[in-house]
Amino acid sequence: MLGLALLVALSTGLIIKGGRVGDFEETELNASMICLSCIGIE
Amino acid sequence: MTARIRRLFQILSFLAIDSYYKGVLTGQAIYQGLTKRFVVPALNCYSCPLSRFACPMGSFQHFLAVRQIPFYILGFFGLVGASVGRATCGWVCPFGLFQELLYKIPSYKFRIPRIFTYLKYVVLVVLAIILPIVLLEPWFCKFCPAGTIEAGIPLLTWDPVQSLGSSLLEILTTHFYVKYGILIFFIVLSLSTRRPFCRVACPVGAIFSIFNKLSVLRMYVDKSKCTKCDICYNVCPMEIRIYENASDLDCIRCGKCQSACPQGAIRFSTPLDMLRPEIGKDTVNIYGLRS
Repeated sequence: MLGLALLVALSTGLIIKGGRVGDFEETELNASMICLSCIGIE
Repeated sequence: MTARIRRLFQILSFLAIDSYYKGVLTGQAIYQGLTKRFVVPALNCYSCPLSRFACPMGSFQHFLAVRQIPFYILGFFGLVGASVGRATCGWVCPFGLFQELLYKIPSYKFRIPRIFTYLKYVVLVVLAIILPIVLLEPWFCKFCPAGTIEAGIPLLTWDPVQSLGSSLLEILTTHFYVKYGILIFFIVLSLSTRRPFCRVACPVGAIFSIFNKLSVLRMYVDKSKCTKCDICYNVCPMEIRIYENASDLDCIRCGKCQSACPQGAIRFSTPLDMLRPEIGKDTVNIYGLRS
């Protein structure tokens, strides 16, 4: 149970850290283009 | 009852994740709004014309390919995994639903040997971690059959760059045939065996499976009631014997075993069960707490 609590705390911290360093914007930027790999072109 | 609720949840999840119909009508190839910042807890191609969200595995590889630590994605995997383990594979993933529906088609059926299920960890480490870091490209996406069916087929059929005087079909390479071959392979396999991609190749499932042993939501088997009749094994979409290990890495918490068990020996478990006098002591043991 302690491990679970630590995992939740660590994960929440990582998400907050991601927000501060701009991960959300980076994800949006990444997802704003058609991924040619996904289609099977390159 | 659980089966119906789960199927409804799967369908609603699919409709919620892939619901950008306006783009098809207006000619916008993919959705680029606010929710595209967020990932969903399942494999879902962000290049799908209908998708309103980003794919966790595509985003994870993207961060590695641009040599950034994917803090947000790692935190997301950790938080979802700590909450429900691999349950999102069974309740949310559209590609999982697709495979389950294919398996309903009458055909020759067989089981995949358990040893092959460890391949997904190789896929995760090699295609989704090492190659993106070394070669700076999302290598798992290059082979992902979910991407092929959700993005590849719709976009190549629609060919949205036609209006620009060009065509995606003009730049197809051998990779195209490899990727479509992989999709056909898993479609054919899904007719005969349960959720082959989830069990053998899915890197998202591989990540969530690591959390199965310590998540809040778990399965519990009352061994005093279990007769090891294997009815649970026969209905399990991941072909595991839940009575051998209730926190099996491949358990997607679909609840089929719970519904099928004639002894009522299997149930979902959360720490809140400690408040129920009849099962409180068992719950204390499941979560390793002292009574």
